[in-house]
Amino acid sequence: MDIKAQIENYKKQLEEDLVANKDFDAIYLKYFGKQTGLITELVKQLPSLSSEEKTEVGPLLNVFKEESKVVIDEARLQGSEKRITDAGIDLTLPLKPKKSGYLHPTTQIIREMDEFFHYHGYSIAEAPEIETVDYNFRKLNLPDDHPATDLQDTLFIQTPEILMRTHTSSVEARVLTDSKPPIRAAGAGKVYRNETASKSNAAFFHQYQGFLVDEGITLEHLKGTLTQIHQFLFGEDVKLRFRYKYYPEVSPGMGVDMECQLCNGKGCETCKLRGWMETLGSGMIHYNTLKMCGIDPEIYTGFAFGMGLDRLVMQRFGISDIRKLYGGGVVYKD
Amino acid sequence: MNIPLNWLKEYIKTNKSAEDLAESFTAIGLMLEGPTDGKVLDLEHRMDRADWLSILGCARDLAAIEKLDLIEPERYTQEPQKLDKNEKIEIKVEAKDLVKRFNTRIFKNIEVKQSPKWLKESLESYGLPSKNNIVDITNYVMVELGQPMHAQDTDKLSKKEIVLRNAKKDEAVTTLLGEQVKVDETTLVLSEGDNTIAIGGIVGGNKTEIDSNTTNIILDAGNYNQISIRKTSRKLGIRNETVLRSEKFLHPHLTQVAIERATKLILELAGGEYYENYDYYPNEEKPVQMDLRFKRIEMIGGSAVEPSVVKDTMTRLGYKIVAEDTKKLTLEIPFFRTDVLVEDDLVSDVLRISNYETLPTTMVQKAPPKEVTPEVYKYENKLRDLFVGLGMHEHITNPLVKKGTDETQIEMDNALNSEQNALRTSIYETLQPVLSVYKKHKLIPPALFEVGLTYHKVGNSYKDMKEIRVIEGVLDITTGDVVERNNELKGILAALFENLGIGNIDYKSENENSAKIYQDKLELGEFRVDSFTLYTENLLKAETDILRVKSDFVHEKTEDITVEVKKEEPLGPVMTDLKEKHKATKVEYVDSFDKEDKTAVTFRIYLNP
Repeated sequence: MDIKAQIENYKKQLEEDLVANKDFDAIYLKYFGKQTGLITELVKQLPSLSSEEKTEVGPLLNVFKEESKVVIDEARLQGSEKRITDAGIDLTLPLKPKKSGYLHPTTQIIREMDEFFHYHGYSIAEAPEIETVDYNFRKLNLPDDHPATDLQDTLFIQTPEILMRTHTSSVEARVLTDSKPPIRAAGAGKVYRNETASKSNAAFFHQYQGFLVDEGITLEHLKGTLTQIHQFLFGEDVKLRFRYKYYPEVSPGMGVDMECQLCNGKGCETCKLRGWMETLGSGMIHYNTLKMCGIDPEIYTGFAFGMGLDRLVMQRFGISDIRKLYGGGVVYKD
Repeated sequence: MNIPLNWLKEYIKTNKSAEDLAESFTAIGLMLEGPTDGKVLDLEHRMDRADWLSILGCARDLAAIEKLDLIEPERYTQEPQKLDKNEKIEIKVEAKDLVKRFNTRIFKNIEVKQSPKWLKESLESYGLPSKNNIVDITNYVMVELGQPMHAQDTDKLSKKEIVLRNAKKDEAVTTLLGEQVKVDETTLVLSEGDNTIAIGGIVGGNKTEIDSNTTNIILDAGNYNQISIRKTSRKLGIRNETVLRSEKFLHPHLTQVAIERATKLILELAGGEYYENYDYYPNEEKPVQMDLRFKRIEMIGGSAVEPSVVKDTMTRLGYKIVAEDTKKLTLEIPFFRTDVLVEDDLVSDVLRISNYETLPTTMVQKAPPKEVTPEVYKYENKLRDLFVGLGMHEHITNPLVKKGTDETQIEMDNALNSEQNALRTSIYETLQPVLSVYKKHKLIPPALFEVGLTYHKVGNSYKDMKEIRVIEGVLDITTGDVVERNNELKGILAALFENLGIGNIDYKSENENSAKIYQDKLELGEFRVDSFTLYTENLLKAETDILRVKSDFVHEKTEDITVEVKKEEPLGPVMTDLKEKHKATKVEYVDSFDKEDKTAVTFRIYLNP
């Protein structure tokens, strides 16, 4: 039989095989097996043909060979016994999912923040929650009995030296003391206040701190970094306001407000009719802080910022009472 | 701080609206607290700037950003008339560490009457009631300049002497409001004869108060130990306009400015003559000078600021340029700027008056330093994901708890809330109660976990206080079969260890309630009927078989074997025996059923082909 006729013959045979048999591996071997495959055999005959026959049959055989492979592969894909539309598979029937747990909302936000800062070359830094007055206040330019210590009602373990840290700035004091510039660090932490808990204030809550010390760092870099964080958290079209604000651990200090996204700056209950929401405090790390932590402030400058995380978490997840967030009042949907 | 706009306009001439002025105030550090009615601005005050508790102080900074002239209030600076020593009121300061300055002046033949309309209205717009011209003037000057003042009727003094001393234990003072308060030895009081007439820097008494018959008065302006005032006022629970100011770092020089201003107003509104009296000021505080380098402004702010702009700003803010060259200005710090400590504070003044909004926004371009995130931090996140994958819910609970019986528990010294006066020694105590929240909502509680710290003290020093990183899990065992529930918890741990590649786990019972989890001698945690604790840092140290991917598939043969054991015999050793006996690679528990006094247990053993 000439090869052209054989091709037509095998074509038919393959179609029949694909209908009759679902063992696609066997079908493949029948046609393409290295030793006895039918198409393999045809290809082996090619060299014995005259050059005219070769130019005629060669391309035909090649096309047939490639097409046949595709046909088998397609059949294989369609060939699983059950189809999704077959009876017995009911797409409308909701089944109980295999149970999975959930991360706490605060963990989820912390991870988002960590990811942002990790991308920007910051390491995550941690420090003890039981802290000395040195790292919580003195090294941050808050000498004993400074009126600004009144901003934070401190929970003492041993008055006046050992306390529960009142802010994550203590992490900054520790890292600056223990490492050499360039430094980039960020991270979340629990902080404590001697307060009676209410809807919006708990005796313990979370702050997120970040700081960067290097040569040539200025307030412009701080503005740039904070703009990006806000865009990352609240969307690219977020509107910000930068203003001077005093914080003892920085000079100059900077407060950042975001145009209230609920009223678009018109003023509503959530923003206390201000049109703006205060989102974080920041500034250039205080000259005295750098010095006390062993960094030469005439060579290095740096910025720091800190923000409360809980309000952000509560807004994102629609939780109205901070005590619920940490009192086990977060019950996950099941 | 309330700023009535009409009052503000005594010092600056502007037609700008309340909203526009509020915007400028906000930019320089005095943020508008709430909406304005167009007449009064409520500005947020931070703790540093004592001069921002005065309308003049706020006006000065506003004038600087608005590039307006500041109109200083008029004062009577001429020397007062002399007075014979026996006509003076003696000032005796016994509490020397509590008083820095006590500046006084005497007025005779004055007329106490109602204040004129402008004065009444000014005070009322600020939020203070009008009383009579003398009291109103002291209040007006306090709000205008920030210096609390105090006037007394000298004819009501039983002796020509005022003593500033520490109070006696349980001494009682009747305040101007008619309230009786008890003070102690740490409190500064003013007394005359046997009477206590005021609590220094906090509140006046009613004994010598001004009334409509008063004609002769002594006016005082004091500068006290701020820390002591703050502590005393907190202790007494007295917060008023006087305390608010005298607890801040006011400069003693301000007493003189205030007295000269008050003199001007008293002579105008009450007539009479004024006389000298004692000014207790043993250690005069001299003005301070500081250099401001132009280079430093650029180093902090990012862009150079024209020297002429720097000079203009600093002059407007009240700094005196003592010397200057191409590199720096030498400035005399105005007495009212007690907040200025370092050169960067001067830089802050330059930058805030040029308005942060005008600064460019730049990204940090430098290469980041090497990452130094602690391994254990990353590991905890991995553990969180594994537990969540195993169906557990994460919770975060308050580490502050009520003091229990544990001797290693760390207690708070000054807790306001007796329900939260110590730190937890286990997460179990704060996490376990969460299960009941689920039950309250008629939900079957899943297994819960929390990643956090427990706190322990070993000795009494700070160094002996330990924070231990743990992950704890709890499971409700009150519903369903306890053994089955416990197996579920153990199954979670088994899956966790399997996934982490931590093998050779041993459970060794410690007591009837708990077992320790070991890998060889490394203690990984504790296992209890309804809960477990894992020590994260030890888990990180455990030996792991991390090559858990197979590339050569060995088809193991399996075989099920049923053995009879005594009832309640632990199965662990039986499985170890089977493994050895059959040279099996693994033995698994399949099933068991009770058979009279014995239990038949089926195991599946895995054999190499």
